[in-house]
Amino acid sequence: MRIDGDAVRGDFPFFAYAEQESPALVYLDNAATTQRPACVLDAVNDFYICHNANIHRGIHRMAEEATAAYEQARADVCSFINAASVSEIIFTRGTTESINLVACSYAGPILGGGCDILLTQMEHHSNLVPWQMLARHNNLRLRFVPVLPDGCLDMDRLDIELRACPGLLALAHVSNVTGCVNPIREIVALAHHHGVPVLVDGAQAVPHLAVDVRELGCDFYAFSAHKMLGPTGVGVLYGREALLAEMPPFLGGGEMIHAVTLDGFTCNELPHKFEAGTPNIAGVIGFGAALAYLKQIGLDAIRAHLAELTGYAWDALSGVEGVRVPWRLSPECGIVSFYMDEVHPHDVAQVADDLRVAIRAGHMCAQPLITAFDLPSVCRASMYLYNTASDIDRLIEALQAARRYFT
Amino acid sequence: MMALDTLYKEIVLAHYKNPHNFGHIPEEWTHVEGENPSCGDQFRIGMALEGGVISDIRFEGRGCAVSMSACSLLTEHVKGKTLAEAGRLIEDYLSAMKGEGALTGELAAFSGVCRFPARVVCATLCWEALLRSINARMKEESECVDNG
Repeated sequence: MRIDGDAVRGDFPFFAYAEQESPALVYLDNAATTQRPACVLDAVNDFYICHNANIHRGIHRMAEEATAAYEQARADVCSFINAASVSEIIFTRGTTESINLVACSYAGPILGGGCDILLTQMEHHSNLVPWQMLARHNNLRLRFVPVLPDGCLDMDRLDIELRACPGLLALAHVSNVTGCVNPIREIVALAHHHGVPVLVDGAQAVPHLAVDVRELGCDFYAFSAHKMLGPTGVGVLYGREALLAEMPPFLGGGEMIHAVTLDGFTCNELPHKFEAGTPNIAGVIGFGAALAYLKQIGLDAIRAHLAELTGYAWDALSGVEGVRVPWRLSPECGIVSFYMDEVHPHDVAQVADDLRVAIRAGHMCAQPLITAFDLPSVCRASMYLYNTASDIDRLIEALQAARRYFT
Repeated sequence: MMALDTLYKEIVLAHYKNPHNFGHIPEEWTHVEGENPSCGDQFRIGMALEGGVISDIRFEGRGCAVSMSACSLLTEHVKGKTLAEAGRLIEDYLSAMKGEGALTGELAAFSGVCRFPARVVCATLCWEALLRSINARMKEESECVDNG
């Protein structure tokens, strides 16, 4: 089923706003965050107007309704990634917090000191810095699987590193810079063969790819709602129940306890053990609405749309003098990083902004990767289901304008 | 592109395309590095000091149009000044970039940068780096004097 661009754009109030001035705003920074359909905004609003109560504590009607809606969203996430049980779905503030949770509650206390954490050169800072922080205090060493010149992971080196049996492998499913899709099922099988558990950063994967955590076989999987039409401030950590059950809590407070005395506390059951305090209730409910919307559109239709659009973008960028597209990987993810000879990415993005085209410039929170390719920084256009070929045409015009302005 | 012209005045573009005092820094000069990892601007500034005067100054590196031209103009403005004079000039520039005081002469070209908050760091990167170096050097010299 193909995506009907006009129908989809009609679902997003952003486009009515974007078109208030001419030329219309073009949004090509979806890898940073996505726009929200009206159904998500309505779900958030509806919660605050009609069902606003705290969850898992009150016995009045609104508290029951709020709790039911929140737990329904958890069930929706469970089904979306085919987890075995809602006990394995923890709501966090985002991918970053999810990874920090694993670093603090699994790698620190369970793996203990003296072991290696295996990462890759392509990681987003959210899957690098928590491990660096842990390594400082826990006598852990970090090792890195390099990236090949084409932007893909060096699978031969991964194999060698896994034979050394690190305590954990943590890696991205999809690179937010190169668009590389790592073969997670194959990697997890190899890691498990050597007794190495695997955490996957799925922030750039779940918005497009059909992620089935049981099929992938990973031990932990993290992603964010706001990168897939959901509200900001909501993320998910999937963890295998057996692992989560062993792990000490991450944050302490209300909700994650069973009983508290002055002398101590006992933990609540999963997944509540890892959800201390009042969560982003409205955000989680909004996320449920986002998942329903994505199911209705169909991830396969989104992938087909992005593949076509990315191919169009690659062709169009080849026609702009001085533009280099260093990585042409996985068109179904809609991530196109590029740079321009003689014009710094910051200046390219500034010209684009002046022409009302929003792209990203910088190191994309992946400094080691950018440095490995000896680039100061790059620009990135990242598309999603509501982008069109004419958005790419506007990008091309902006790049041509940048070239004229600076050279 | 009127908004762009506010940010990229002619003098900014001129110094970007042909930066002054850009080139290899002799090892024996006093060096300092300035880096903005978020956008990839990376500079090294070196000054030759004779009797407390910046007798020569050069910079190396790569950056956006704003940071390159800001570094080029910085080197032009401090060359030939004493460390103390250069330090005061830099402090006045940095204050003006925070909205306290006005930029004059050629440096007025950066007055539009304040309207683009994300780019202010591009215009101040090298200036802050050199100020650190100047302050460190002046502190060393005053400690030498104190210790006889």
